[in-house]
Amino acid sequence: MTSIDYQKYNKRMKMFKVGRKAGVQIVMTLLAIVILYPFVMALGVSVKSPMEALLSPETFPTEFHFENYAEAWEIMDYPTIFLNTTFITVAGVLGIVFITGLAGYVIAWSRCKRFYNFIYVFFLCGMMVPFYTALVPLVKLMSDLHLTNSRLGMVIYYWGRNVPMAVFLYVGFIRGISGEIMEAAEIDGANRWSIYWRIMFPLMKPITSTILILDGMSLWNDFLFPRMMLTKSALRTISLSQYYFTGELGTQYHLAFSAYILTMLPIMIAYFCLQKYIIKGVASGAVKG
Amino acid sequence: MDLSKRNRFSFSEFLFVVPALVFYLVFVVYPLLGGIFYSLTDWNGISPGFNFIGLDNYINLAHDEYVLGPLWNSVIFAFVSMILLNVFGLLFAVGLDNVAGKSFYRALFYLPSVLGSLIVGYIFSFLFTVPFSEFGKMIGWEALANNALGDPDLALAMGCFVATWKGVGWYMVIYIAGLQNVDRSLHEAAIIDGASAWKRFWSVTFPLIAPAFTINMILSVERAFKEYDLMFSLTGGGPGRASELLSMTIYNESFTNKRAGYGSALGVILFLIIVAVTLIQLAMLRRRENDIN
Amino acid sequence: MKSVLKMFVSLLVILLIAVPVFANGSTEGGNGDTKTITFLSLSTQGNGIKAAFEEYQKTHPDVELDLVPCTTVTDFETVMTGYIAAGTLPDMYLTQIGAVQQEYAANGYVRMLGDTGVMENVVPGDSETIMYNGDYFTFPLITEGVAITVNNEVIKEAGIVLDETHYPRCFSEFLEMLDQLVAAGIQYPIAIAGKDASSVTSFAFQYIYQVIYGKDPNWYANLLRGEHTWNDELYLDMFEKYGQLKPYISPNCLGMDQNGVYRAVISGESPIMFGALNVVASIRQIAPDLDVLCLPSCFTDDPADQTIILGYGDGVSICSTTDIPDVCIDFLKYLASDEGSTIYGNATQSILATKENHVNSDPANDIVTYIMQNETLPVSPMYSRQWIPGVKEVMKTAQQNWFAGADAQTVCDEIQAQHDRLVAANPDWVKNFLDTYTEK
Repeated sequence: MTSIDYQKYNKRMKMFKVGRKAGVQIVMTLLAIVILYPFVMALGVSVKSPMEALLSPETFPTEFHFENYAEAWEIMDYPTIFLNTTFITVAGVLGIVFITGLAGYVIAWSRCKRFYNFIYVFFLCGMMVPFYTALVPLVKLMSDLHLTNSRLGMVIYYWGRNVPMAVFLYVGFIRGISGEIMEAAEIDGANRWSIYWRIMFPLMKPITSTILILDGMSLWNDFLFPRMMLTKSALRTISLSQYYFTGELGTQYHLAFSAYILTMLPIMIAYFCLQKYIIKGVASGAVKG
Repeated sequence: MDLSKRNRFSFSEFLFVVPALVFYLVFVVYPLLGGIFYSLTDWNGISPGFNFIGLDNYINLAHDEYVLGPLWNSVIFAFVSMILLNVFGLLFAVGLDNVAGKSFYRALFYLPSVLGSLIVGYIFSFLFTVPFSEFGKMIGWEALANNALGDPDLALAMGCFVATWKGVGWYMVIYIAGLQNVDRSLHEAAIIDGASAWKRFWSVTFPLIAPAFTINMILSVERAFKEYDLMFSLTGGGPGRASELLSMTIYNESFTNKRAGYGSALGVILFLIIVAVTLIQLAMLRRRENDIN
Repeated sequence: MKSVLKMFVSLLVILLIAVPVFANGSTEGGNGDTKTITFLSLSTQGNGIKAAFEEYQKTHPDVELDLVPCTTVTDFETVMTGYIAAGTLPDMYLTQIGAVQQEYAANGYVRMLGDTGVMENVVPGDSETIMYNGDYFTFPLITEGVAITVNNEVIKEAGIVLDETHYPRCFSEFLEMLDQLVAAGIQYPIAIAGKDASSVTSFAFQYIYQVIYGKDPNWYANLLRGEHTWNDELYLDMFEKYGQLKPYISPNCLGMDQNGVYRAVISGESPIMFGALNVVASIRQIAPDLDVLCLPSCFTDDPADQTIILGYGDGVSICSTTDIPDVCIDFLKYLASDEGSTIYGNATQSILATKENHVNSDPANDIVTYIMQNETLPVSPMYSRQWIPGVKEVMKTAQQNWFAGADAQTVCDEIQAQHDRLVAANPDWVKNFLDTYTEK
């Protein structure tokens, strides 16, 4: 390539780049509208009068009935469902991190490689088991163990269900940690328990937060199994209350959408506060695996 | 150091694995084995007794239209949403590379992924019923004007669309992480060499995002086969059974039609599908990665 | 690193505080003083139960109600199966009286009510539908009918007068009325919710009860014996009639949900809908003062064959597994009483099946109640007990496919195939049904 050609090429490239950049910007803005549209629509319907919500739900509200929110709040018994979901999610993810962290540590570090490799693969197989395959026996099992109609029962079930993914992530991460610190600690004569909590667990911080986030979201939004297990309204979670609200008052758009907005708020607020960590956590969770 | 001693099995070490192993055995392995067991029976799920009928359930379902329809739906749903999620996820990731307000868009596009599928289905069910159909009338697109969710030919496709709306941010984020590994100078060099955009993408970018690609493909297919909530709240499987997924059939057979044995057999089939898909994809994609490197 | 540990520890502390607060749910409310009735109910009837309970609670402050709603009858049955499998049956439930409820009774999940005395408060009716093995398994709260519901304001504007003696009496008169509405500028007078199982099958069931049972009173029993099929002429004719209605139904009906139907009826866009009498209550929630009227079905060819389709509607049952049978029976007695049923009836705008009550009947029911009281039309029972479990879903799918353009023969063949499948899966039910069947 001669230098003149190269300059020409460069100029063309530059113009092309500017044009492309503007084009991409426009496309991205359009896509942002596509993503936002359902939320805007839901907000609009949620403040309409019952009549307007039914007859012309898609227009901009002519009057604002914020009392819809108060009514929906009341009907759902919002504090209860919020605390139920929070308890199940928090207790669930903490338990998962606790038991799988320990397991991951031993699987990744033990010198008894063959045995623990077998255990590791055994755990990984669980990732492929769809919930529906085990549905019928699971329902029976929960009933036999007296874990139905109990928040703690749900939590304990999650401790089992979410083991494979968490073990997978922990082992992958721990294998990447340099061995020197560990060896030093072992020569110091510290026992495994204190090595784990003093040295390993703090080192595992990034992957722990990833697991907290991934499992936290899946537990928070879980629906089908809680629907079968938690039949009392005092035990309802947010997903369940969305379902029951739709069943009971779904024909009253103004209330239903107030309820939808209210039930989406906690996770959206959490997302906006922790956005950076969540996105990082998801990305590292997948790529590390 | 005495290596042989250190390789020996230590019970105290094993205790670390026990809690995870116990919960895993009780809540994942036992129900899976139970499911396989019940799939060999004619149990109705509620009465105390059942008969052992061998492989009859599997033989029956091989030519049961009632089951093959949803199975086919699940395959289509998984295939289409895999393509859509990965194509758009990658396009979004590449598009966001040099856009003003990158992190704003990224945060926004990811937002639907944190919501539950159930609520997304409810909201879109409403959107299709009223605003989309008004919009359809305005632009004269009849399929949309008549509520695409009520059209047996379109309901499943619309399900794929909503699944894409909800999930694309997740896949985008992973591709963004993959793209960060791509060395810009390598790209520039390729431009100077006069490589076409496609060739640049294929020979420079793609090998570096191949791991992200692998994981995204597997996850999107797996999730699609496990999807229930979204279709349940969006179409309920209708109209007719045009958008019923296998997961819904399993649930309905087990509990509505009271054929727990048959439902379990379907569950085992779903399990085998997921195992097969995962193994095939892993093998194929790993080979591709090796070829490129 | 420390901050993570700190976070972890603080979360753990929160958890430890939270655990006792949220101790095992099943022990909740079990402190001896308050008793909670867990009540699974169809969501349309939830308001009535709630309203009656609030009054009941004034004299029984130690009892609480935990109402769990189900959207549809199918949903109810699915949920119940799950509960049976998981051993979490509610204390009481309210659902449409039918074959599935009878099955619960047969399997011993229901506490029979014969010894409680509540049955004395029921108006006479087809008691076969609420009995199993000589005893009552449910208390029928309401008399339900399926009918044609119209927005009378629109009908009046089109110059049509409807009252106790003026209503369409046969299919051709109904078509006449539709033509008048079309002439008055209403393009699609009939609203049907293709997405909703009740709405999309309502015409078919009304036709079966009124026309097919008119021709063969033992139709379903004969069908199970193989003397009829779903794809024989008797049933195929239903689609012929439905086909004549198709031009009056909006082509986007498959995408409509029940809300869309209410919207169309209230706004007057399509003033006519098919459904149970209780749809009036849903319309009232949005348009309390609208002039709505329910008309008897009119799908026979000869006015002399017209009937009104009525039967015991929703019933309340008590589960045999309940820990608090006395509390449940006491509450059921209240529901069956004048006071309790009146509150229930006013809240749900339904026609009660209790002998004594003081419900302010909704003006929408004027024609139906007039016909009932003066017996101006014979009654076609609602043979809901007749159906094999699962038939409604089959019918829903079939109707949807028909609306989507499949021809009647294909649709009927499909119903027959699916029905065969249900029969094959439930041989015990079929045997029991035919063994206990009394010829009409």
